[in-house]
Amino acid sequence: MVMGTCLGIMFIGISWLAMSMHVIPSDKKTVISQIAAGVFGSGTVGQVLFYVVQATTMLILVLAANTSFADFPRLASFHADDHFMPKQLTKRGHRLVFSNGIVLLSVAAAGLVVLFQADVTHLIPLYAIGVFTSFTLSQAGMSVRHLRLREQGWRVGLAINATGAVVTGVVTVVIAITKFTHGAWAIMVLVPVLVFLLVRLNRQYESEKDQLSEGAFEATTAPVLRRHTVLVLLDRLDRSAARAVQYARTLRPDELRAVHIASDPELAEELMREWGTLPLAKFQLEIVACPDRRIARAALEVVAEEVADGRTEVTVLLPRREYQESWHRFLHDRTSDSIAKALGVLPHANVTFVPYHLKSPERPVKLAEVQR
Amino acid sequence: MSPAPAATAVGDVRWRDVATIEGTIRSVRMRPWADQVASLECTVLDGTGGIELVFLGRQRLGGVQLGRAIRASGRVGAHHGRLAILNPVYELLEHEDH
Repeated sequence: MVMGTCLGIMFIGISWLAMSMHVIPSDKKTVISQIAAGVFGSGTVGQVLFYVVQATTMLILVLAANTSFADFPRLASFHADDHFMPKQLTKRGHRLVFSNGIVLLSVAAAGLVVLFQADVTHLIPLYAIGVFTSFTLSQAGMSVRHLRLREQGWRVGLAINATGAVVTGVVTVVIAITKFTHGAWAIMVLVPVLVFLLVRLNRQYESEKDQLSEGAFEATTAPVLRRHTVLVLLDRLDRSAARAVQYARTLRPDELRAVHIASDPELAEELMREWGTLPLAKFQLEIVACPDRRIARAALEVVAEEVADGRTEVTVLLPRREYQESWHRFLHDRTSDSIAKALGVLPHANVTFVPYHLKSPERPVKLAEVQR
Repeated sequence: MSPAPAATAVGDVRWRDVATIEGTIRSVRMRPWADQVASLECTVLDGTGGIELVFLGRQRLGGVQLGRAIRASGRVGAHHGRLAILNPVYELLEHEDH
């Protein structure tokens, strides 16, 4: 209330001063600086006070910019919590701020500055219409809320908010018309498009939530399948495959099988020969022809056959190399990811990645790095 | 050389039949029993269906490789829930080009 009163007095005061001094905004000097220069005069004290006003103005503007970075991410996270904005915006970084929201805002702000070549006269109308649109919408929103909830003293609230909505609405319309060609059109186009997209997003999130939560309790206690087959998908007999084989042997399933999708018959022969010499009792090796080299598709067929009887739960183990440096990953394709994705469509087919950590020759793995 | 009996379509093969089938080897499986003892199983497809050929006690068989065309005959039984011919008489056919 005190803040509001101060704001009102200062705003009306500046307006009155500007009117009586016939100050005209120009590209070079702001209204505030012209008023300050006029009021304080050109003496030494006047000069000092002039710079004090300028410096204060600058600090206030910096704070204003900071406010959007402080509050937009928080507001966005509330929206995201209510499924009206992308879920990533609810995530806090390790400094406990909503990092994604800050990044999003920075990118958008930087984009605007570049697009308008940092030209303040063109950015101001955009700012004005943005601010007044949101004022109108929030005031109108509060009015609707008063009408719907009818809490104690709702008539007073409604009167204030409705007046606010009408006044700011008028201002919005005036700016929209007078500054239409100065960039206001962008807001007029952008807001409906954004609202449409966000509502669409909301529908998607809600339907996902419904799907996930419906009958969750019953599904937890439903009877389980009696058979368990584990398939280890391997390329060749190397350390990462060995890791997966070792892991598979601890699972004690009803059936355990190594599967090789053969896009190269000679490699398959080689693997078959090597496998025959291993002292692995009851560990089958199956080699499946894949002349068309669609490995994910061939894997899907093998697993589909396995789950076809409707009483088997299948676990597919995919050995996966984990790289120490992120760029090492680009040296290899990501076949295992595409296989996992293809298998995802089958009910009762489950994919487990078995990681094998590759060491850099010049840089051994340190425990601290792994924990990070 | 006596003329080979006409092959039956795999889709028409029934349990306990004595059948001759012809097809391409789609997958080969080595099922170990104990150290150095295994059976070799392969799935043969002919476009109407698939059937298993099981060679008990063999780890490997020359020529029984992926993509090979094969003709096999024997009595059709069941092996691990699938139709299979155990220890069939078999003959590798001319290589089909892929």
